[in-house]
Amino acid sequence: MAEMQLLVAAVYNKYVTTISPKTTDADMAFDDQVTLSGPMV
Amino acid sequence: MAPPMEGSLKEKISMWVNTLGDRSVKDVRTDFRYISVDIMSRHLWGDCGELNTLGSESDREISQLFVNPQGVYVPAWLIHFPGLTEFIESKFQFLGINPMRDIRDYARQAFKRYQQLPKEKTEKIQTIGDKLWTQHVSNGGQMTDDQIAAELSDLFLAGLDTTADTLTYVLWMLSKPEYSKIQEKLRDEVRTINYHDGIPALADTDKLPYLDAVLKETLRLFPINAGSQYRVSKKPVVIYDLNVPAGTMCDMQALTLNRDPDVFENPDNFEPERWMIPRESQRFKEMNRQLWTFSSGQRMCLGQQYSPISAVK
Repeated sequence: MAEMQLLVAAVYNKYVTTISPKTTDADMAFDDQVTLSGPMV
Repeated sequence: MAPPMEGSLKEKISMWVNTLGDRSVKDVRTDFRYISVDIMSRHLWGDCGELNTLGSESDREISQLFVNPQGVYVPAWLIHFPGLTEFIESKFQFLGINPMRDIRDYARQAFKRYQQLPKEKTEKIQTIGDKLWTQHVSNGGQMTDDQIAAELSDLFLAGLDTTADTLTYVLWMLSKPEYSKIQEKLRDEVRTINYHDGIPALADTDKLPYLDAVLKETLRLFPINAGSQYRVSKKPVVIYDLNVPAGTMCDMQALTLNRDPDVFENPDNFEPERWMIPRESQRFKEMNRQLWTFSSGQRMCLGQQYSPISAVK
C-alpha cells in the first residue's frame, strides 16, 4: 500500500495522465477467475 | 544492510518518475512490475539477490523470470485433485508446467549466496531472508533450504503482481475521460503536501483521504486475487442458516463480496466518493469489513502486513 500511495501521489502531483490510443478496454479486461476456479454453490 | 522500507520505495519510485518526460508514453504495467521487482528483491534478499531492473539491462533480463514467467500454470480447480496435479507436473515437464519452479530456483540460489557469507557480514543484514535464517535447521530451527526458498518466492510474488497490477488499474481508471473530474480532484489533493525530489513523505500521504478513497475503490473493483479462496471448517458451523459439517471445504470470492449490491451501491461503478464518509459511521465500517481484496483471518494476504504503513484502515 505504501508503494501505491507514494507513486500515485508523485505521478499526479506532476502529471495529467491519459490513455494511449494503443490501449483498449479489451486489453484491460478483468479476468475474474471465478468461473475457472471451482464450482460455486 | 537493507535500507528502511520507505527509503527504498522513495528511491525506486523517484528513479521511475524522473524518467517521465512531457507527453511521454509509458507501458506502466511493465514499469510497475520492474519497480516492484527492485523493491521486493532488495528487502527479501539484499545483496544476495537484489535486482536493479530500473537501472540495469542485464537485471531486466533476469527479471523476466518474474515479470513474464514462461510456462503453463495448471488450472486453479486442480487444487481439488493434488494427486493429479503432481502427476501432470512430473509427466509434462517438457511443456514448462509450473513456472514457479524457476522462481524458486532463483530464491534458492540467493539463499545459498547468503549462507556462504561470513558471519560478520550476515550479522549486519536485515532482510526478510535474514529473518528466516534464524529458523533454519542449522540454527536449531525447523525450516530447510527449500522451505525458506519457497517462503521467499511466495512473498516475492505476493508483493509483485498485487501492487503492480493494482497500480495499473488505478492509473487506467483515472486516465479514462469519464473520470477526468476524479483525476482533477485527486491532483488538487496531492498538491497540498510537500515533495522532495518529486516524492512525498509517506506520513504525509497517509493524511490524504481522497487518495485513500481512490486506492480503496480500485482495490474493490479489481481485486487481483479475485477468485475462490478456500477454507476448511475445523468444526461444525452454521453459515447463513446452512449447516456446514467439520472438514467441509468452503470458498469465497473477493470479486463477489466486493461487488455485493447490498453493501456497495452501484457496485460496478468507479466511485471513490463512496469512501468519503466518516470512518466511524456504520456504513463505512460495513464497507470496510466487506472489502475482501486482502482476504481476512490467519490466511489473509501477507503483503498487506508487509507494508510498514497501510492505507486501508
